[in-house]
Amino acid sequence: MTVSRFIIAISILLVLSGCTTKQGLQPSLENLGLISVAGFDYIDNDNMRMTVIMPQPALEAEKHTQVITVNTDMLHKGLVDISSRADKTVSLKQLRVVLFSEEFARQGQMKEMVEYLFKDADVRSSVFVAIVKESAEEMLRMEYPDKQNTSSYINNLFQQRQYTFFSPFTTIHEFVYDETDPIRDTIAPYVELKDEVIHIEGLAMFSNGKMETTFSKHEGKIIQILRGREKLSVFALTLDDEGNEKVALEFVKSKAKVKTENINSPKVILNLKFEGTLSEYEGDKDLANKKDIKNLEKEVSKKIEKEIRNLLEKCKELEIEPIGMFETLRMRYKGDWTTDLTKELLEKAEFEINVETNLTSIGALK
Amino acid sequence: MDVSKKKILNGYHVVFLVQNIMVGMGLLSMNNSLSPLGYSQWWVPILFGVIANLTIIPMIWLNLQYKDDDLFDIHEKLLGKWMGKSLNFILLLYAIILFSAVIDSYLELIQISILPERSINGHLIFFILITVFIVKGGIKSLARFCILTFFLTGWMAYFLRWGMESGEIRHLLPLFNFTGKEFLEATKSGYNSIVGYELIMFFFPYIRKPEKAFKHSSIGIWLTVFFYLMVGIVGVMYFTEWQLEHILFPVLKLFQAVDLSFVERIDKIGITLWVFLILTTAGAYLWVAKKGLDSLRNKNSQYHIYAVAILTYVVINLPISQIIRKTFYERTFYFSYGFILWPILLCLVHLVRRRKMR
Repeated sequence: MTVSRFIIAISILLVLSGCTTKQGLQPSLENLGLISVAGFDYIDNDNMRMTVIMPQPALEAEKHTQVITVNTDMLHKGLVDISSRADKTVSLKQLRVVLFSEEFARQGQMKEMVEYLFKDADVRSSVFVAIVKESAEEMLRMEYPDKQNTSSYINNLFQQRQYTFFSPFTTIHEFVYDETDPIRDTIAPYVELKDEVIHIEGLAMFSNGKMETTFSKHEGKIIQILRGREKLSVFALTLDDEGNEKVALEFVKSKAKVKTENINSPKVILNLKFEGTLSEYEGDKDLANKKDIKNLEKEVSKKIEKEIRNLLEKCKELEIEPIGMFETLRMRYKGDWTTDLTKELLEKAEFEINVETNLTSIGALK
Repeated sequence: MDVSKKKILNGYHVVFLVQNIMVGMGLLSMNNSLSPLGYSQWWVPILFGVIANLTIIPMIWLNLQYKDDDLFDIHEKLLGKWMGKSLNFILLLYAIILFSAVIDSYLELIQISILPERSINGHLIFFILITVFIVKGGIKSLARFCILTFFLTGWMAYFLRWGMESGEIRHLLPLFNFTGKEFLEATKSGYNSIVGYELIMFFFPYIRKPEKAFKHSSIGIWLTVFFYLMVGIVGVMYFTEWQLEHILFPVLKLFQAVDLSFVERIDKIGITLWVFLILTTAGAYLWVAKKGLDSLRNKNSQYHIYAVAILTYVVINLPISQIIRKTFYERTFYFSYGFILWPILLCLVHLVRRRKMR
């Protein structure tokens, strides 16, 4: 019995030690400055400009976001600098989004920084990353008067929503995953500050740790389909060259199967199946006519096929492989698969694309 | 509680003792230590399970020949008093070092990931005290704690769901994409995640139905393998080969992928709950060390637990550098591979002696 009493006494002492007022050990929650969004801008190869925002919970404060910018060469050195300017101990524990300026990504420093964050035990691996067209600092310093506060605005912006499925919403884990996967190259959302609002403009494409180019939203949709996302939303197409016949489809189901055969002269077979409703149509076809509907399905399939082919040819030209087409080859490959092998295969690849569209309904009106 | 030599362990106790002593720090870093195999590592836990199940046969056979003796007594009976005692002394040291290795590596993880600003000395004392408290009740108390631990921690396997959802199932192939050298390297570093079942040689005399011990311990081993296999598969799906090689504790990253609306840092919850798994493993080694001291001094005394606990505290606080300490622990784990094969030799000695007697 004496032992158990002793243990109880010790545990009470340990629990009570949380109430100590001794400063410096571990700050209490009120004394923590929780960084929610961080941004990095390029200065030169050694230095960067780091901007962080922290929500200000005090009601008396006029602004509800604290913005602090420092020039630094290391992440943690920057954090110490930021602490000296903030009234609280800053911490990365609540980090949600990290923004990188386009120049920063193009110079190849982003990979290093993301890996650094990935290693840090304080930072979750589900933090979002994004590329900002001009300056990340500007985006964070901007005031968004019709939003709750900048932190939650930017965080909500990167949550997956139905109509923004074209954007990949890359997390730190996914960035490191794509970056270290020899099968495919990295993609990340590309955002721009326009008319005092943040727009998701498209995709930033990476190759060997450096940002190479950007893809449009429409191309982003196709990449997401080919990467195997099943929940898609509205997909708008112009069927003829003059722009007289347009459709908007709302997909219920989509399925993409990418298979590659023969490692010596690779042939990529893409089988896609779409099932959805026609939500908008502009053109001459009579939608009450079954034959016309069949034709429309065929035309839509053809159009999607053409767009996929264009995208793949573009990727081939740019030597970027965002999809991971050669995974089926890797499954039967002995030895280490390298990035060079992927590039080599991409150069030689031929594509066979089969698209099947099935319109389940054409809406409530005849 | 029962501390005297009596038959006190029933079937459930044996299953969960074997299972929980095996699971410890090893599981947290299993994907990493098997990483020389790349994506082909996920089925290796099955192979380890087979090896474990094969190596447990000589252990149990030997124990069945000496139904009321643990390994310490068997050593003295088979190899003579002096030989046996010196071997037991080595075993005692082995148990103490593994006890400290398990606690030390766990507390280091706590320091890295949860409390980077604090020293772990207080936690160390507290941790050792709890282990002492569990072990004071004897092997049955430890076994009961193991059952509790299983139900307190086993449900965490559900957290693997998120990793599985965003993972790539095609990583599971090819099955044999590695060289012989890579395989040996991975086995060397990976098998220590499965050691622990050999402690059955020490608690065997307490088992109520020794003839069923093999069945029960096999169930324990395959329960462990089941969890390891799940972590192995999900880890391979969720990570790339580079990540498997560079992330020290892949399970924690898998927990970070969990996306719940009401709680965020599942990995921190995971680490803190892991304390139960560490307590069972550490407690088992402390119990073995206590038994070792008992047999060395020919005296059954509860004070031996305190002696071992204090010794462990000293070992962990020895002023040697972290690197030396790490390699030392690692070597001790390799020693346990030899220890697993040791009963085969003892069986041979036993057979030779029996023939001579006749």
